[in-house]
Amino acid sequence: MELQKAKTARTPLDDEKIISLYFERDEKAIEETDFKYRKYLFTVAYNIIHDRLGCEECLNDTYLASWNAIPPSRPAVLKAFLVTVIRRAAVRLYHKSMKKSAVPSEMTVSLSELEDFIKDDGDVDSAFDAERLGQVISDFVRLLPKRKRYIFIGRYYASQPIADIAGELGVSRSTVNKELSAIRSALKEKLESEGYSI
Amino acid sequence: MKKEEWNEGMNRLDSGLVEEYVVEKDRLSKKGKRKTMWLRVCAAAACLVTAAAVALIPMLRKGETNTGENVPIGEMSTPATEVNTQSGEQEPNEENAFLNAQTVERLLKDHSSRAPTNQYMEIYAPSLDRISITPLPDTETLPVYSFGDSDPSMDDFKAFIDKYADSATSFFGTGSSEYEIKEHEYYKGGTEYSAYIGESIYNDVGFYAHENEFFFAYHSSKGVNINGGTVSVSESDTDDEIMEKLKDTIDVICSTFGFEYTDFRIERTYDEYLPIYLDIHLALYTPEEPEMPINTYGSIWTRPVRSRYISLGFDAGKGEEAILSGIWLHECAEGSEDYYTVEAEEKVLDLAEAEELLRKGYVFGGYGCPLCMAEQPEVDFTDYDLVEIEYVSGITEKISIPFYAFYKYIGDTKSGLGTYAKTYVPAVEVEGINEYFEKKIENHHKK
Repeated sequence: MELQKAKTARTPLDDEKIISLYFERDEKAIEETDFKYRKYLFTVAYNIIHDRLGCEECLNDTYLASWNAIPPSRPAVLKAFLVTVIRRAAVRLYHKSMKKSAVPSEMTVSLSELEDFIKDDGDVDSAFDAERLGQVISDFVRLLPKRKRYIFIGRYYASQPIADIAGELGVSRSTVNKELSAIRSALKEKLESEGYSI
Repeated sequence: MKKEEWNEGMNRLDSGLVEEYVVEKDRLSKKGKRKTMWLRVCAAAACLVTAAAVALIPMLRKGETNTGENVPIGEMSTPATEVNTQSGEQEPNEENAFLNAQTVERLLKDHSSRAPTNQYMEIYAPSLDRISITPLPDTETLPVYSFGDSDPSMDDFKAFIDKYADSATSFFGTGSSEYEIKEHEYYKGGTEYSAYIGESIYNDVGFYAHENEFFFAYHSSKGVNINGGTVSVSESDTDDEIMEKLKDTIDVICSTFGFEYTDFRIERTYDEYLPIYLDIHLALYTPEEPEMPINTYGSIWTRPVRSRYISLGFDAGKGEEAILSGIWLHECAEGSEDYYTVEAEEKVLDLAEAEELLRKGYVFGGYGCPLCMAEQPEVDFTDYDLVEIEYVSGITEKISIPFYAFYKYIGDTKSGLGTYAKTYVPAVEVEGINEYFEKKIENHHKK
């Protein structure tokens, strides 16, 4: 009873304090990270891989990676750091799973929207430069107005459902669809101009 | 490009962008929670809400004195000054006089889509005549509107869906006409309903209800299929040419959904980096609603209206034909004539007076302090290129006020579009505006 009471009364620590725990090599850092961000990180992973066990695996990978990275890293925004890590873990698992069977996740839907310039599921080409592509996309996104940046990253980075983005921004799903459509057209042009074969 | 390659590239998205996204997501989430809390508090203290609503509009009025008597909404005023008990002179009152101008400033900041953080916002267009403007009125007064809180009725929403479900399913070829209504919290507060009709999320019609409005929307990035093909127009066409080209299409759409229009408006929206949008609003005005300036650009999407209208949305890349990619049909709930009201007929600020405020930099581009323009290159609006009337409606401030919107050409984009700085000066007299800006400048110098 007391434990239950204590649990419900618990409030998340500030990010600075959590990061301090990492720096102090205190394992409570992971506990506090999990308490504060588990739900959100789970959602991000679930939108990508659509599998609860897989999400748990990604969460564990994320906490381990955070433990290993902090220190020396001191993330400016802890949540963003965690999202970056879990996305990488979830995407890795996603492509592994896709080789066996289709994954009915939000990421699959969002990737299908990009069919104008993403053609197939094959392995990464050995000459492919992910850093450069990341730079090209980042340069493109930086030039978008703030709201479009939010929509783009929400949809194609965090694999957020369109309805969720629309709800957050207080616009209709059609409006988000319309903006995404315009962003995709412009991105296609940008990628072509950078020499990517579409 | 392969999917895995795309994802590897996205994994390397600049961390600053991810941070910005996460921070913004938290902000939006908190905003929603704050609104919920605010609504609860307001529900518990209805009398305070009434008092606040009573206080809101009168703040715009000038030259009347609050006698403390019970005065109807729109006829009450707040004193612009208070008496200094030591000197006996009247001094600006931070709580009252400046609040009027601050209320106006908040109106502009209220809109995420038009939330300029500096003194002006940038508008893109190939030429001045491609900016959709509303001409200046030749009347001595303009109405200031207020609108209330209103939740749609679930039964009315269901009736709206049932009215259009079959025709929309058949017209857009979405398959099933079954639907499930979901209830959400509307971002402005209150309830929003939504329902989707279609066998696939890639091809469905969304039905929505919030405030006093019901609408359905269909969008396809590949173009709406009409009679076995897509429909397109050229951005370079004149309004008349576009309407001529679309005559048959519009006839089909109107007859399908039982719609007659009495007026139309074509809006062209350009972006520095993205394709153009060309929206055609076919409006059927209700007898109570004046055609001007209620349904002016920038407000048809953000302001509750009493009209029924269909919007046709066209997307196009640069130099491409604009394809009809979206259709929206809006209706207002019964009793919408009471939803927003003309709170006051305010004296129109003479254009010369507005130009004087513009010259002094007393503008509401979003950022109150004219000396804080350092974040943007300075623009001299003295010799502006265009002026129009634009109504701006609040979200938290439930009022709608006319502004002079001034445009000044400031250069070309890389893609060859003209860039126009746009800033706002109230088109009706606003109490305390000079004192407000003087105070801003004073505060700036103190820093």
